[in-house]
Amino acid sequence: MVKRRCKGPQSSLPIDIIRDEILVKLPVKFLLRCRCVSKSWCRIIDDPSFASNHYKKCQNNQEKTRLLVLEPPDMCVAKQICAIRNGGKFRKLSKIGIDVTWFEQYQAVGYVNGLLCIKRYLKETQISQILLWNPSIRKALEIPCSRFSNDLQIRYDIDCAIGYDQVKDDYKVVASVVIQNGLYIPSDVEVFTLHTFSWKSVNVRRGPWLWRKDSPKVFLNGVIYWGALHVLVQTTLKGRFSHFMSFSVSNDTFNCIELPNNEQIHEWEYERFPIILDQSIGLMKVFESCSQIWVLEESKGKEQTWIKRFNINLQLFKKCIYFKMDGELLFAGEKCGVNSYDIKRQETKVLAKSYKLSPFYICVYMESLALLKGVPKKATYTFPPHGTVQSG
Amino acid sequence: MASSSSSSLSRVVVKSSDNNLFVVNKKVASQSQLLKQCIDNMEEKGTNDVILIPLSNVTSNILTLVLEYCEKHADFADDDNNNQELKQWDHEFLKKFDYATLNSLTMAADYMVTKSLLNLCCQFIADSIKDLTVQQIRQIFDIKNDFTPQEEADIKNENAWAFR
Repeated sequence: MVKRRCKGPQSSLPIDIIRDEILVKLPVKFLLRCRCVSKSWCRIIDDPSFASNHYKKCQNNQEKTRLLVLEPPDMCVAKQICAIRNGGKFRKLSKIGIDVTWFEQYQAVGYVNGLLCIKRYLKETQISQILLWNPSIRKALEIPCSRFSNDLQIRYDIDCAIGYDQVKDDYKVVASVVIQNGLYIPSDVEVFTLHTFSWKSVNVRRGPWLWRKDSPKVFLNGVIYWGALHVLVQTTLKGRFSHFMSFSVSNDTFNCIELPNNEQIHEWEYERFPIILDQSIGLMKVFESCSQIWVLEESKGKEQTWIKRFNINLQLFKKCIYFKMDGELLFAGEKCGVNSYDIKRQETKVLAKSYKLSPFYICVYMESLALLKGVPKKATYTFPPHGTVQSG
Repeated sequence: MASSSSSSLSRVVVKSSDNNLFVVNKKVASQSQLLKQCIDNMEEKGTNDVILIPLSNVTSNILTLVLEYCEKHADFADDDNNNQELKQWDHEFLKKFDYATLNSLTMAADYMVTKSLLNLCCQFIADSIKDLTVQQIRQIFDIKNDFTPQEEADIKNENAWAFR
C-alpha cells in the first residue's frame, strides 16, 4: 500500500473534538493564551460550562497532586508568598508574591472548586475585607460590603467560610460578624451569592451555640462544617467543641451534629476539628501523646454514628497543618519543616526539612477557570496587581 | 435473546472509504463501539452470513492504524487499564505520526467510537502543543486569525502575565 500523507481540509479537527477532548486537557495558563487564537476559541474558553468541564477533567487526573501553600507575610521583603508545590515531594513548582504592609495582610479562609477565599485584614481600621481569588488565572474580586459595615463605629472582624453549589455552579460565602476574639454567639449571619452578587440575611438560632472565630472549616458535598460549643457544656469541655455546625449551600440552612464523647482515656484532649476522609466527614481529636480519627458513618436505616477509625501515635498538638481527603496528614516538624503521615499505612515521612514552622495555609490545588467570565466584568481585577510570577 | 446463542460470528469484514477490505477478528472489532454495535445487531437477527461493515469516513491507511491499535488492546482486554507495557506501547505507537495523521486518527477514533484511542490521541496532541505559541497553534489546527490587531492586543492584555 502506498503511504499517503493526509492533507487539506480533512486533516483539521472538528471544533467539538478540539473543545471537549483537547482543550479540556490543557493547563489554564495555556488556555488564557489560546483566547488569542480566534474568536471562536475565545468564546469556547470564556464559556462557564467549558470552565466547569475543564475543572472536572482536572479533578479526575489524580496522578499529579499539587498543593497550594499560602505562607505568612514576610515583612523583610514586604511580601506574602502563595506557592504551588508538588504533593509528593513538596517541591516548589511556581510562586506568586503578594505585596503586604504592616497594615494590610492576607489570611486564607478556604479553597473550594478553584477559588480561594481570603480575608484582607486592614489593621488601621481593624476591618476585614473578603476576596475571592482564583490563583490559576490571577483574578480576584472583592466581595462588596454587607450591611455589617454600615456601622463603622464598631470595630469588627468577620468569621467566614466558602462553599460551592454544584447544581447551580455557584459559590457562596457565609459570614458572621465578630466583635471579640475567641468564642462568640452568632447573631448576624449573612450569605453572599456570587451569581446574584448580593448578600442576604440567614436565620441562625441565637444559641445555644458558641462559635469560634477562624476555627477550621471543611467543605464536602455542598455542606460546610465547623466546630461549635453548646453553652451548657462549655465549662466541662473547657473550650473544646461539643458539636459540628453545618451549613447547606443549596438551601441556606444550618444544622448540628453531636460529637462523640471521650472513651476512658487518661490524657488531656487539646483540640478537635473537622476533617474529610474518603468522602465522609470526620473528626480529629488531638491528645497529649496521640490523636484519634473518628468518621461519621451512615448505617442502613439508622442514624449516622461516629466510629473511631484510626489512632495516631504522634504528638500533634498545634502541629496539624492540613488533612488530605485520601488520609495523608501534613504536620509541622519539631523545630522546622513539614512532615507527612499516611494514616492507613502508618508511615511518616519528611516532606520539607528546612521549611520554617508557622501557621500557614495548605490545601490540594486544582487549576480552574472560575471567575474568568460569568461575574460582573468590572468586579474582577488582576491579583496580585504587580505580582512577581516565577516558576521552578 | 434465543437467537444470540444460535449464531455467533467470529469475524467481520470492514471496508475502508477507498474500498479496501479488512478481515477483523470479533474480539478486535469489539474495541470499536461502532463495530461492536453492528455485530450485536447482526447476531440478534440471527444471521450466519459474514457481515460487511462499510466505513465511508476512514481511509485504508488510517483504518490499518486503528485496527493495529484495537488488536493490541484486545490482547490486553482482560488486564486492568494501568498496564505499563500497554502504556509504553501506546506512546511508541503515536510517537511516529505527524499532526495530519494524528488528526485523521483522532477523527477515525471518534467516528468508530473507540473511546480509549480518541482519549489517547487527544492527550498526545494536548501534551505536544502546550508549549507552542498562538501562531503555531493556528498553523497546526489550520485556524484563521479573525481578530483585528487591536482586538488581539486587548485580549492579550486581559491576562498579560500568561504571555510572559
